[in-house]
Amino acid sequence: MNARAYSRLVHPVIAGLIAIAYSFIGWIEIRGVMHLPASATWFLTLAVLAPLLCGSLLTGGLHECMHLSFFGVLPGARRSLRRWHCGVLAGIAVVLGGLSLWRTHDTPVEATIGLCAIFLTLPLLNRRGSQSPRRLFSLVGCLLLGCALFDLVGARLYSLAMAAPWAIFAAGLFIAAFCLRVGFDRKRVRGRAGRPFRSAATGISVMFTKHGRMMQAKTVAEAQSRSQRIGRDWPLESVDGSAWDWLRVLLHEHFGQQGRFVWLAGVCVVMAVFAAMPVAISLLIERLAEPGANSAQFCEIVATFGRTGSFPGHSPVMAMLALMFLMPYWIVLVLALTPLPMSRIAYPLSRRRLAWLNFLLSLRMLGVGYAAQVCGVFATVELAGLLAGIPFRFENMQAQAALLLLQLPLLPLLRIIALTRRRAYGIVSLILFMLLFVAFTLPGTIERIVPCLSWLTAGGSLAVSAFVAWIYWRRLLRRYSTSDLNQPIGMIQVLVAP
Amino acid sequence: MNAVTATSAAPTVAPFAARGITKRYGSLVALNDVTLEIPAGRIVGLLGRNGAGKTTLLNIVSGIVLPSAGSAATFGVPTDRLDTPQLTRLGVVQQEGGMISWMTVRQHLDFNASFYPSWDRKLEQRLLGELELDPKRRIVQLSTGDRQKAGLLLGLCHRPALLVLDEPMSALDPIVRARALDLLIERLRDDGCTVLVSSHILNDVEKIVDRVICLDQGEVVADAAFDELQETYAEWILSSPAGTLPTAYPEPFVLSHHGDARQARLRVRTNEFEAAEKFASDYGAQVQRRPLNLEEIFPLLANSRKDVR
Repeated sequence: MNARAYSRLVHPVIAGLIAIAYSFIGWIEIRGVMHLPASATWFLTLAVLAPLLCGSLLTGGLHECMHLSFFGVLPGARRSLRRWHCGVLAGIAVVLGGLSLWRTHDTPVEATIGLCAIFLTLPLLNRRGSQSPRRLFSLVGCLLLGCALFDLVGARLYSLAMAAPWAIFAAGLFIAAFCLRVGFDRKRVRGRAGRPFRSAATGISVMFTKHGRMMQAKTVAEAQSRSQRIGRDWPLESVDGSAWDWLRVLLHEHFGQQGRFVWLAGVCVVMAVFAAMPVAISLLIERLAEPGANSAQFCEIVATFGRTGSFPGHSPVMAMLALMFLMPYWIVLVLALTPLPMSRIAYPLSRRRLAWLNFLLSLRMLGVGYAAQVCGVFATVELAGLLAGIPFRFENMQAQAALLLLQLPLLPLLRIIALTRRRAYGIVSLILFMLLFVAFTLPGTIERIVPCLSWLTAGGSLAVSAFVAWIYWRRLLRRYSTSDLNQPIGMIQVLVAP
Repeated sequence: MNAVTATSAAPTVAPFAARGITKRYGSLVALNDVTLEIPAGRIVGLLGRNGAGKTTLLNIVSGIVLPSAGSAATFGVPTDRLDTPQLTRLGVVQQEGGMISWMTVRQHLDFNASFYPSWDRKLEQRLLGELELDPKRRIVQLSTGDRQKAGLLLGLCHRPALLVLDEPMSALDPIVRARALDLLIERLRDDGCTVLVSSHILNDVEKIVDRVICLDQGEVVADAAFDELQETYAEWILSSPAGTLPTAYPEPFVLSHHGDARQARLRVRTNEFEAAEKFASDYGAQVQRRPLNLEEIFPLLANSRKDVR
């Protein structure tokens, strides 16, 4: 194996860009939320956050290869991968150590390198055993818990690094050696074969591309072939010309295996969990920070924040509560960017009617996701208000309404992006999401945003949404009228000008 | 030749007609200026090498793929405007997929049956038996051959007026293949169905087709009745006891030859019976004429594009 082969596996440019972007966001968050001195902020970013991101992304590429069945028969592949990976990780640790030395003169570099060694190699222990949707939940849960833990112990870790740098250095090398040994262990590597896995860097490298959608379709087909579930029987004797009947046909084709309401229920549960999770974690932080804190006071904070967007002071609790609005939005964003699968059945339907049915399907998918999100957030806030004994007042919901309505026109817009499969638009929307996250969690931002949005009444937002939805329908119709239909809708190209 | 003629009255509109259609996928030209018409009540064989454009043409017939240039009409309606009245008369058996993998065969049959008012449950039951397909099995678990059987069932049971088959029998065993061929002939006899079938198993195609369209590199190189092709292409076996046969034959109708000075086998393209006698006298040899089967004719069609044109 040479450098070129290794770099093909780990996508160094993408991994590097993502690591830099997220480390930067992390740096802003640590500075804005944890209120640590500059040297501690740089230390935690360079010794913990950046190596963890780099290690996860690079190791993901290796694991992707190890999970292929042919990896076991490649002569010497395991050893040469280990050699290359060790070298690259050592290089990254030295670079991060150098950066730390440059930015923080009073922080011992040996502690930085020791922690770098731990966090660069820790992802090697990830077994990536399952590709099921449950994995997403556990991943998000781990991420949030990790953030909470980081909030709690970050400052103490910095103090420890200052006090005992050589001990951290020695412990770091020992743990790294252990991780490398276990991560490249022959038995464990063999155990990975045959369980397909795709790394984040690969996923991002093919995101919004035709190739990526083909991979997505293949993953779905593989999951379907593994499933033993027999779907529902088709209930209709005959399908008349109504759109409702045909909508049932398409829904049965796409979701018939899961059952009639399973998909809807799944979306609602996901939204509720995603809305409630930041609240639960912020409660945990509050309890850990102030053991004697009153639940009613916490509920009051949640209700006040949820209804008005205002919050006395600024703390990790505030950042977590801001996530309450953003977490479900992420799911809706994914729904909005997911292209509808083009049917492979040659239905006796005109292209225009197929377009109309797919338009209705899109609206249903987004509508359900959005409604579940709105309900999830409202329910969480109102429940907290109820527990805090704050009476419900409609006019107090301005912040909630403004933030949630703001997203509405975005949804058909994102469907247009998914349809036109402009990669740049997709990437820009993801960057926007990251910026929103940063903006929401920094002091005073929400208080400034809410008055700016006050002009956007419910009616105005609905009108803008309807207009964008109409553009989406025109685009969809054009696509269906002028394209080959033997590929998923996201992949089809407009061939003839209408 | 087992040409079968429809018993019902021929409709006035051709089931499919194309005029100058071209299909490009980026820089790749899959079809280039193709003009043809599929006559009603016939079984038409669509032949061609891999990548010749057969599947693209079949997808254009069913309106799934649109031509980049030219015009195509199925049942007289432009293929981009096909609607329920035309599509319910069309049966499509796709080369791959075209089925919902999570369903059982029975569920899929019930699902498809609901779209077609003319779905024939008796025919469905009979075909399940004849093709030896278990309706309780899931599509995803079927072997390639069984999947093709399921595809045939889904394409045939609504008694289409035009049946488009893309490699429908490549994975079937010889016994089931023979039954499937009989079924196609039966459909033609009973319903006057027009069949457009693409296949590489030319021995099978030969048994049922009465017209052959051959594509090469996206162009039609032959569009003729199978009888006509058999009359046009032949093998001449030349014998010269004196050993006077040449090593090359300059006559334009000689497409290929091999042999020696005493005996040679020539593949020729001529339907003039006198030509053989004249040829024999010119070379001082005896000539035996042998008709070619489709498998022997096909390479001549595919490899001699310019000659044919």
